[in-house]
Amino acid sequence: MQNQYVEQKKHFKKKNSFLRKCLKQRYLILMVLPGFLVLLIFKYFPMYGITIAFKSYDASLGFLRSPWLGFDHFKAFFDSPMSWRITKNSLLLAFYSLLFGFPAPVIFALLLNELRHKMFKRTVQTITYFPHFLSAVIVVGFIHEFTSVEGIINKILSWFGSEPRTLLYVSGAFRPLYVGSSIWQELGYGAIIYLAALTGVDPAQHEAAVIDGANRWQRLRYVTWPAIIPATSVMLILKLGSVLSTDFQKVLLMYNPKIYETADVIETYVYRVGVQGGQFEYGAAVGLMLSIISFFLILFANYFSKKVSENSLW
Amino acid sequence: MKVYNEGLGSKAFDIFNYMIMILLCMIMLYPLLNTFAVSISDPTLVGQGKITWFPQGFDFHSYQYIFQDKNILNAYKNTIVFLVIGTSLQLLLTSLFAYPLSVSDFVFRKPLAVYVIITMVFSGGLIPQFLLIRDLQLFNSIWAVVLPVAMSAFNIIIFRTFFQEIPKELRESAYLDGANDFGILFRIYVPLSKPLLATFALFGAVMFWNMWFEPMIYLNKESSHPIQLLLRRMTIELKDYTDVGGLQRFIDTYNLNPKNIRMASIIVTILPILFIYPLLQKHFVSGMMIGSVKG
Repeated sequence: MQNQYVEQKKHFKKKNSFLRKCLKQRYLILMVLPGFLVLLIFKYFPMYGITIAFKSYDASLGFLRSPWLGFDHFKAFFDSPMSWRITKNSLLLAFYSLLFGFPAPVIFALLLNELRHKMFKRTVQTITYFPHFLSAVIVVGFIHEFTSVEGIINKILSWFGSEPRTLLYVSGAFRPLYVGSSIWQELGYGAIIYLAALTGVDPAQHEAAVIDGANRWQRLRYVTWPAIIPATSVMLILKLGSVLSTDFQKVLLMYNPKIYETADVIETYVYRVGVQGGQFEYGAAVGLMLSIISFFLILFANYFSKKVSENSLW
Repeated sequence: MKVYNEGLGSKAFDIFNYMIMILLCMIMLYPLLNTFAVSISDPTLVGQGKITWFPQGFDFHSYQYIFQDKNILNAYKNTIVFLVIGTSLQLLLTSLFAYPLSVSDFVFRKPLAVYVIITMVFSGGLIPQFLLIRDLQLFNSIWAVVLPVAMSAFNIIIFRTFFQEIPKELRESAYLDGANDFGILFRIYVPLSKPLLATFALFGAVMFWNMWFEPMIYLNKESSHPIQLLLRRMTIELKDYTDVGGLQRFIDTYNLNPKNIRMASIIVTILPILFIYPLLQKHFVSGMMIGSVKG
């Protein structure tokens, strides 16, 4: 009896001290309040809004009161001829972006690291970092100009005997243009993280390697390269996880009905049927599937990397 | 690095490397230089496709057109409004939120950290976001563009880490002198975090400058569109973006090539970024470092 009373008192005291602490920290609580609400409304509400994919949305009833429908929208998606095309396009675009876009900054950083003139190196960096800050609209504007019939890319292709044509109307040209322009834009900026890793290499290691008779290639292979392996594998995991989230804003700017065959990806399809076509539930269902696949991809990539190289995100 | 006795292969590699770097720089620069050259070159030469690296036969009428076109000036103004409001809101909300998280005995510290990290992993996606803005009746309002990006988990984490580095003795002594937390944040923490704030202000500004998708889906009125959307209409949709007569009359009067004006409009959109680029370059390496080391 006595014991219980003490326990109760303790509990009461504990609760009381929590409230007192809150009162004492009222300014801190006041500070987080606006940010808390912004996150709640603009990040958490949409998360709940995904449930629309399982509902029959009625604008007059709103999110909460629209009736449940089950998996009908998902079934409709799998039955539609579009599902295969957009999934394939997303995967292929992601695959090519990874295949060419991932190694490019790594190689660039390694080459940059071998330059000896400081001034020259800095000039190259200044020039190659700049495109990163240009908007997708400007980059796609360039693409439009340079791939038009009289554009420079057609001029170069004509040296190899190709007929000049508007390349953005050629479905086979979309993927090279997308990947190529992304490399143009991100090559320099993407190399920063590797360059930072390279500055961590102790010059003494290079000296020791030279004394041991290592030539330049061997030094690159056994001294420089191991230094950027951790950064490379972490970046690779992150890239794999977001592999399906193509830069759909850029695709949206680049594509046109003539090249939907290769250019239409999951997100642009979601945008077309959902935002433009007003089939919100269907669009949300397709979008949800995309995030589920991406989520499993990052889990898989992390697991794989842990097995192979002992580097992982968590 | 000291140069050791070099073999022939090593020299060959150096030459090859320099050549690759020069070629790369040329590829990076060509679109920019060509665009600039076309924008101020003689329209007939532009029409013949003769302009490559350097301008020929100067003609500045395209810029004259741009600076008298009310739509372009208006779009510029819209972008600057987004940029100023959006970036300040971002910095203000993030600082306010990150400061309590950096206080080690804050009651809601742990739950709020989880609350933030969840937003990093999961997101609603395009359609729920779109419906939310619609249900909140934020269409055609600047808040639809500015608020959803005001708080990002990444920024909050970096701000918090930075604030944690500030010695907590400063905070404690300010307490004893009778300052409250708002005073401590704005009089001590913010002045001490100037490099951080400058970095994020610059990056926020670039983000808002380059934004086009959100304004396109949330703002229906063309008069409230930012410069990037106008540029999209001019260069990508290749539609006449103003009153048809006005542009055509101008082109006829000065015998311009529409390409002159298209390229000039790209240049005036790039220029502000070019101006702040030296500042950006000074900051982005350090900014990325703060994130990658402590992230």
